[in-house]
Order: sequence, then C-alpha cells, then structure tokens
Amino acid sequence: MSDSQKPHSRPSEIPGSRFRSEDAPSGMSDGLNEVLFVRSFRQDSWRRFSKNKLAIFGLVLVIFLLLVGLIGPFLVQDPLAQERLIFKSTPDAQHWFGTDNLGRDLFARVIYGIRLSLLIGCAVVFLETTIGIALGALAGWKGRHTDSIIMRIIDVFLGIPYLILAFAFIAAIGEGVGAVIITLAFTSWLTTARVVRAGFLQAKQYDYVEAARAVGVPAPRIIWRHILPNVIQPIIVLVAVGIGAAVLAEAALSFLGVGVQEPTPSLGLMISTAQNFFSTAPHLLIFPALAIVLTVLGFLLVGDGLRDALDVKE
Amino acid sequence: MNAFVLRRLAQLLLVLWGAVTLLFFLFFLLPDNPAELIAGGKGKTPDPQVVKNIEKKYGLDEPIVVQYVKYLGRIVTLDFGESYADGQPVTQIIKERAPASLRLATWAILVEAFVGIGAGVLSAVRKYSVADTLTTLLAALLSAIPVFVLGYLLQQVFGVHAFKAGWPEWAQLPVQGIGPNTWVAWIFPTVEEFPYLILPVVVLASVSAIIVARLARSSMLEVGKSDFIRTARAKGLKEGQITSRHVLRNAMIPVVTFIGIDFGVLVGSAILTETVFNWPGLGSKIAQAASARDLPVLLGLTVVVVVVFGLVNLCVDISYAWFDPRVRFDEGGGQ
Repeated sequence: MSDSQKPHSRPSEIPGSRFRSEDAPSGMSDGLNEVLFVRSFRQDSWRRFSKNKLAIFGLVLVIFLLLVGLIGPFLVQDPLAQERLIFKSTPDAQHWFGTDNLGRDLFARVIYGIRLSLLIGCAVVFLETTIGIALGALAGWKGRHTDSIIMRIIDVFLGIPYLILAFAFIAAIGEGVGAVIITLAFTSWLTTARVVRAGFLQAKQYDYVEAARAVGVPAPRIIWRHILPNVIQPIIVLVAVGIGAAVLAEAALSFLGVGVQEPTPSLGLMISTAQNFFSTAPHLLIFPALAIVLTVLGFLLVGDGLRDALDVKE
Repeated sequence: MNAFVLRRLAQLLLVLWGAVTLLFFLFFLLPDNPAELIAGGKGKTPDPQVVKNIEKKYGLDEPIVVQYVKYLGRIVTLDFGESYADGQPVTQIIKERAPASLRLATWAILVEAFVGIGAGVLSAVRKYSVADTLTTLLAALLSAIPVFVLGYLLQQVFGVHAFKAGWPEWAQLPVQGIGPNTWVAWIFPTVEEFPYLILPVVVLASVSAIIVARLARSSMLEVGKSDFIRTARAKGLKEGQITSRHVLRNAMIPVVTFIGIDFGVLVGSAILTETVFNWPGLGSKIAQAASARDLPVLLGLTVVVVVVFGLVNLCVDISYAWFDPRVRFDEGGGQ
C-alpha cells in the first residue's frame, strides 16, 4: 500500500536525523536549519496525507465520532431509563434507533457506547504507549542484561495469544471498565516497546548522540532530546491504529461476558444481547455494530494514512 | 540446521515456562477463592466444611509456591488436573476438542494463504486496477468489523434468509455445530460435514486473508524493483517466468512470516468464531472456562495453544531456507 501513495520520491536522508542532505548547506546555522526543515517536513507529510482520500475520510470520521462522544451524551435521553411496555420497538420519532429488549432508548445507548469505546481506546493507548516507551527505552539504552530480560518478557507475552492473555489479566483483576483498560494496556505494549528499542539501538550509534555523551550531557536529556524524536513517527502510527484495535478488543471481551458489565452501555455487550433477538429485532444488533465498525474504521484509515505520509516502514 | 532447531526448541520451553508461570500467578491474584466457586458459585456462602474439603482435594490449602511447583511437576507428565466445573480431566477435554479446532484452523490458514496470496499477486500485477482498489477498500472495511458481527451477519444471510427466500440448496448453510463429526481422514470432511465447515472457515480466514493480500502486493512490488529482476528481464526472460520464478518466491518471505505471527490472532478469532458457530473446539471451551473461572481448564488449554503457536513459528522460520537459500541458520542468535 505504501508504494502507491508515494508520488514524490523523497531525497535520501541522513540516517536517523531529521535533516536532509540538501537542506543542510554548510555555513547555515544549525538552529535555523532545523526550524526550516521541521516545518517543511510537516508540510510535506500533511500534503501526502491530505492527498490520500481514504485517510481524509478516516480523519473526518474520527473527528465526527469524537464530537459525538464529547457532546452527544448531553443531548440524548437517559441510556438506563426503561420505557415500560415499549420493548424492542422499531425506530420512530421519539426513539431514533428504537428501544432495546428492556425498553431503553437505543440511540442514547449507542451514543454512550461510542463515548465509552473512545474513552477505553484512548486510555488504553495512553497507558500502553507509556509502558512501551519506558521499557523499550530501558532495553535499548541499557542493553546487556536489562535488554535480554525485557526481550524475554516480551517473548513470553508474544507467545501467548492475545485474547487468552487478556482472559488471564481479567481473571486476576476482575471485570468492569477499569479492569478492561488495565488488561488491554498490559497486553498490548509489546509492539511499541520493540519499535522504541529498535530505534534506540540504531540511534545510539549516531555521531551526534556519541558527541552529546562525550560532552557529558546527562542520559535522560540525551534520551529525551536526541533519541526519542527518532522514534516518534512510528509511535504516532501505532497510537492511531492502537485506538482502533483497543475498541475492537473491548467489544470482544464484553461480547464474551468478561469485559464491561451490564447496565453500562458498551457496544460489544449490546451486540451480545442483541444476537438473541436478531430475527425479530435486527436493528438492536445493526446500530451498535455499525458504531463499532465506523469507530474502528476511522482510526485504522487515519493510521494507514499516517504510515504512508510519514513513510514509516512496517 | 539441527542446532538451530534445538536452540529454538529450548527457547520455546523457556517461553512455555514463562507463560505457565505468568498465567498461574495471575489466576492466584484472583479476588475470590476457587474452592468457594466450586462449592457454590459466585455470590453464595457455602458450608465452610465443604470448602475445606474441596481445598484439601485440589491442594488449594497449601502455600501458592508449593502449588506452583506441584503444578509444574504435573504438567511435565502431561497431567493438567480436572475441571472445577464438572470434574472432567483436562487431558480428556483436549483429546476430545483439539481435532475440531485443528481442522478449522488448518482450513482457515489454507484459505487465507491461497486467497490472500492470489489476490495480492493479482493486484500487484494489475496495479491500480479495479480489483486492486477493491482489495484495498475491502481490507480496511473487513479489519474494522468485529469477528462475531461478521459471523452473525453470515449466519443470518446464509442460515436464515437463504431458507426463507428459497435460495438454491448449496447456498443454504447450517450455522451451528460441526455436523456428524466423522471425517474421512485428517482434515478432510465428509459430504455431510462440508457445509458446516464453510461459514466458520470463511469468517476465520477473511480478516487475515485480506491482510495477506495487501502484504503480498506490496512485497511483490518491492521485489519487482530489485536488481536481479532487472537482470532477469535483460536476459530476455518472459514476464510470466520472472513473476513466477523470481518475484513470487522472494516476495513470499514476509508473507509467510506474517502467517506465522498471525496464528496468534487466529487463535483469538477462533475463540470468537467457535463461540458464534458453536463449534466444539478448544476455542469455545476456553471462552466458557474464562467466564466460569474454571482455572485448570483455562490453564491446560492455554498450554496446548502456546506449544502449537511456538511450533508453528518454528516451522515458519525453517521455511525461510526453502524460500530463500541465502538464509543460513548457523549464525548466532537465529533469525
């Protein structure tokens, strides 16, 4: 996919640095040069991103869903209030998506479900990225025993299929929204850690890092200022894709009955309940399912677009 | 080569030990006492004497470390204990259910590989054609649909709607179970079982197939740009020969790697697929055991899955040498 959306072949870069060879003529001061280039790189990436129709569609979708999640809950009915005697009604003016098997307004439940999915997605990715960067940086910077211990831990985690690992964590910390967030964060930091570690191993060898060490710049500062910027691009991509993946995983856990519990409106849980009534009230399944698909699709498309625009190798 | 396989097997043992340890201790962080779960289920207060007896029977009254060492000892002799729920030995559950899972997974991987690589090659050869754009769109859409939603939709279309609308016989498919479960041999179904296999395999293979297709496409295009392809062209080989002999084989390495790694995802999807289709395999049992907190079953089945996962990846690594003879196994550190 990446090849099709690279109409402008970029001139070769000095490995790892954000300077391009022709952007760094001798005589120009380094600071000025960096400012000039960072800007043009961003513009460059944005131009590539905005030419990708699917990615723009994804971005619009994500912004729309974020607005729905932020503002929507203030505008809709109570998702827990049960309307007596109106069970599984079809969509009408009062209940836009109809009511569910307990007479609750499905539109409100889907809106709250989207908010919960986004909340879980963002919280998971924030935790996952923090853990991933911390452990990946530790492994890549320290090397030796620290590195091999962390890598073996990652091997063990990768050796257990993801959903089973999630079952184990859920079993240990219980069910509910908080447990789902912690579980998904602890089972999905592996890729981030590996990417960060690989970036560190490479960047440690660059002359400017060695120079910084030689003049006695403290390690945290070198890591923060000189090495982390090298791995920021793949991390941005992982964040976008990760939110989509977390939304899917939450739905799967809730669907299997070990995730978010009733009466909290979760999209996965709604689908799980709706399957029993599919033949009589298909809309109970279709609306939540559509909400999940659109949410995940939005983040995946943005992630794919970013991967191409920032030219991140898979 | 032998040394490489031995080293990888040792690594697999290490991962297995780590996985068992991790899962064992995670389960014992459990807020509720397993003995109480067995005695009365969640939320009830069973007779303390009954709980004591159960604790004694399953060795739950001993310190965790002792239980852990004993469990490791039993695993080595392939004894995974008994189910808390119905007292069935876990080994027997594995024997009963593993074949169904293995058949489903094997078919899914075969479909995934053939359809995925086929579509990928097609869209690489005909870049930017309708088929190419279609796979890209389909890829995005399919990876956003939860497996269980896809399962339900197919069930409704081919299992319910097909009967109501009177579709031709071959399009009316059963949506629950495995059928008579007799099988001709290994993975080959009898005529009666074949329809039962179709929908679960399609659901399980769909997401991965589409990723394989995209990967195969970009990998083919990447290899197509390399020097030895230009040489082949300069030698006057026909395009078809270049594609089939030179490009395809080299382009398959990342694809095969992905299929190996993807096996872990496949297991996760299989848990969902088997639950939706009521397929009597390990996956649906794992889901049941997880929601019932049936620890011996969950732990035992997980060990099986981890071993299979490790072996699959070992086979993938060995297959590199076949695809690319430049790969050697004798350099330290493996692949």
